[in-house]
Amino acid sequence: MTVEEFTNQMLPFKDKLFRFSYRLLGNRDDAQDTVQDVYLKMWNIRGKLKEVRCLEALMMTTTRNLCLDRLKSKSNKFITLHEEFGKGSEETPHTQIEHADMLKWVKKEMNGLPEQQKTLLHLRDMEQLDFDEIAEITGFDLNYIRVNLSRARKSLRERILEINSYATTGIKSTN
Amino acid sequence: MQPQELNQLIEKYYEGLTSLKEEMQLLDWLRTSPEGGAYADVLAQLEIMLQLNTDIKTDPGFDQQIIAALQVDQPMKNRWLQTSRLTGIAATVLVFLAVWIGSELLKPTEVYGTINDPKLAFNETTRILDKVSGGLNKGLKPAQQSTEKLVKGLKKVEKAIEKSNQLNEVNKASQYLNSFTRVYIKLGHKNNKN
Repeated sequence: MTVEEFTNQMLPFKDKLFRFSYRLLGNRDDAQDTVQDVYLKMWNIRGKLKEVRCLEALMMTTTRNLCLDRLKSKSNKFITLHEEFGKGSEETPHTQIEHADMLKWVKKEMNGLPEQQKTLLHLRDMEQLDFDEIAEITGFDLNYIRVNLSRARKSLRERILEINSYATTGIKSTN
Repeated sequence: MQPQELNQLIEKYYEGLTSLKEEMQLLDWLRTSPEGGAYADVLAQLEIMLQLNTDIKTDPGFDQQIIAALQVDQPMKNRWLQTSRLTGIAATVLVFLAVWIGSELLKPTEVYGTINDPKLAFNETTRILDKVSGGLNKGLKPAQQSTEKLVKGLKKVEKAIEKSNQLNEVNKASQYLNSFTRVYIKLGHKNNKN
């Protein structure tokens, strides 16, 4: 397999891997380094990739494992998300500020979740993966996934309700 | 969607029991229904999750960065593989060489049991006879030496006997001399008497 063939086949997953990595690490550079490491790992086993049933699941699992290794080595527990959100929306300046505040609070809340809940929330609610795919990536059983996903969703809802109690307006739909 | 049905779906969502299809239905309904405002917190959560998904992207040059990393890794990996392969082959050859030399050195020179090969039998017989004759030669040498010593001793004895024979002759001569002396003395006495 040449570099070109490899990249044609594997690079379409890069953004998904990056989002997942970024969600777990909370740092762009670390997330990009991790994704690069994932590609190097895949490159090293390129001869065996034909035998892999779902490349995307394998890459997501590898990303998760590398992120956890990175977190362990850094003991990087106090991470923060600082991404640019709400670009290009048709909201008024006032609602944009509220929206940005809401996102900020939700991101903060997400960062405070246990790693497994954060992973499940990302894979299900952000990446829209079905439970079987999540089970394949994480190695958790379906019941465990449902229970922890439920805890994560409820925890976020409490936070959103808490924020809403301070501000009377809700979030405007972005479609 | 009826309010009861909606509440059940929301409850299912927070219990982690909804399918992806149901979640999309829920989101669509909350987005489009005029009654959706009552569930602003649910809509906010669903929207935020999707927005977080779409807003995080890699840097523009990230593809090239990965391609460059792969191209750098390739020759290094090959070089390492070549070195390890050569080292492995060299180690294997050395091990076989050592085993072969060891087995040759420790190989028994004697043949045990019945020999069916006539040539080998002849060689073995020759070798054994050489060994026996060598042993015999070793045994004869000290015997020869002792014989030589014995001969030397006998020669000495012979010489001694010869010397003793000479002494006998001296004794005989002295006996003759004694008898002659006696005769002479007797004759001298007679002459003196006369």
